[in-house]
Amino acid sequence: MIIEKDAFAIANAVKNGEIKAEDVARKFLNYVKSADKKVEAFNSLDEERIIKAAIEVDKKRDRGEELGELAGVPFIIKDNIMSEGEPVTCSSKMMLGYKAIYDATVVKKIRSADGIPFGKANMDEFAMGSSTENSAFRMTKNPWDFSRVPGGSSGGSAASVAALMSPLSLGSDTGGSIRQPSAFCGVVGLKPTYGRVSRYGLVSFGSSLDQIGPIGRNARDTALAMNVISGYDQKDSTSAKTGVSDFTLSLDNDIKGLRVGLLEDHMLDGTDSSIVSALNKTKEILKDMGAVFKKVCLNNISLSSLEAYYVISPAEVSSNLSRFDGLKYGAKVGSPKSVEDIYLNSREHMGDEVKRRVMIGNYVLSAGHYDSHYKKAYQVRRIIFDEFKAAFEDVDVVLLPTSPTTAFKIGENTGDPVKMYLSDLYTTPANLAGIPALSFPVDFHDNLPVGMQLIGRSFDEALLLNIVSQFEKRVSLPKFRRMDV
Amino acid sequence: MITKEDVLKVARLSKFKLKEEEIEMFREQLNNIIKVVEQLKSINTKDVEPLYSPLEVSNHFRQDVVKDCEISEDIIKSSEYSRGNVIVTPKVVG
Repeated sequence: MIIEKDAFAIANAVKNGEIKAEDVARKFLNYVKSADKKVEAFNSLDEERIIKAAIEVDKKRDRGEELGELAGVPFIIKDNIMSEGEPVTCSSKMMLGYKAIYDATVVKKIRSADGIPFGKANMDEFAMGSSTENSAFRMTKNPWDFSRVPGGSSGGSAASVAALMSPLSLGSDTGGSIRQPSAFCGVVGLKPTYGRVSRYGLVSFGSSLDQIGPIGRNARDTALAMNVISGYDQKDSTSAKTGVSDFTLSLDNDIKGLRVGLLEDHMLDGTDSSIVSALNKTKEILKDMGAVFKKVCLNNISLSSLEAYYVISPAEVSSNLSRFDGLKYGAKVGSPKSVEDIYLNSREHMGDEVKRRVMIGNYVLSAGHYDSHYKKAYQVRRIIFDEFKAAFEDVDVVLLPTSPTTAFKIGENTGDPVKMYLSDLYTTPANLAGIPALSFPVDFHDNLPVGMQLIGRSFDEALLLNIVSQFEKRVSLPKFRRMDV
Repeated sequence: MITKEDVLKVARLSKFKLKEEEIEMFREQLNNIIKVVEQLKSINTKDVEPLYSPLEVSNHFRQDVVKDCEISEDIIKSSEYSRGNVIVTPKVVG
């Protein structure tokens, strides 16, 4: 069954001529038609465009040209990333009817590697949320339990990979939006180092926090995707010139002697016991493989990251979302009498969570609150950054939960924004410090996946992927759930 | 403590038109959020330089050469208010 194969195997089969890229695309499209009725992960899927792209890959092979690393591999794109000619809605009514007029650098790179951009994935509106319930269009379900959320904001991206609708997807992560849904859906999700992957063509949320990253079902596929999307881009002024080496090369390295940092026990207060016991289990397995453990002092990280994050990200978002003024793109407002009418009537299409964050942002940025809130949060960010720096002198990575809970019920947290924000407790520190972090599946509890998080030094994604790859050799978990059986 | 006036002020700055019942809902929610973030006040940040970006690099400079990205027409066309090669809006200054 080709759809059960991982990206690595599909690319090899297409390269070797065992299967045509067009057949791969048709098999996935056929499956998605029924599967997505249950999961509702897609905002749009342009069949014709997908088949055309796949045929181009086949033609290239027929001409005797060498195919790229993602030959014929379907690759789902989060709906806040531009793919030329396709809608980009950010799951907001504000953006209905808009089609991207250029490819994001990451999408261009996927095409250059002969991958097939495979539709747009549902998300929380403008990436604000931790459950994908803030989408204006549909409720994506967790493939392991349809009564539960897939996590968010990249819920469609994570759910589609777990439900076998694509071996790989792209998400974006501002405060955990790749890692938390990956944990909830039992897949591997990586937030790269800030600057590692170009943000050109990503709809900005928190510009100093946002990173695009891959979601896959194993370490190798995630590494493969990183090989394709990483690297300096002149079009992103915060893109790093740091060299990119092959992320798959170190996957088989022994992790004997690896120094793993752990949070102090009291930092885990309030976290579900199922998560704490999965953490201990993971620790034992890594220990058995030769890793050594050490408690690290990350007091400020645990205590104040969330607070700093919920000042910094709204502040940046209130500025970034001012471009949605109804003039250049987005919701139609009829015949306005004034420009003010256009602003007010078009922005009325934004959902409540978006409004909350924009207003919080404008509050902390306004006179009287600037020093006490805005500046203070960026000072705390420096303290967090330094705390990580000190910790990484003693350890190579930090192991901690991705989320305090497993996937929660649809509707469980929607009435209480602060309760929903707590879901980001363990994921925001890596965004504030700009360092790489990934979530990987370690266990199942009550038939729901449990994910753990590894945070590493800047530009050390290869080590995180290496650890996951070694862990996968010891622990075999269900990687996906078919929707047609 | 966020007051009704605060909500109206930030809504105005944010260009949001709020209904009467939304004002109280947002006041309560924003208040709860601000209460959480105000816990930052307990952290000593004396003499700490704010960290605005985690990537400590200098600007990437390039030659300032005009290049045609060949998408300007499409950008103008995506607007509801495009006419020819411009976007026409209602009068801004009375």
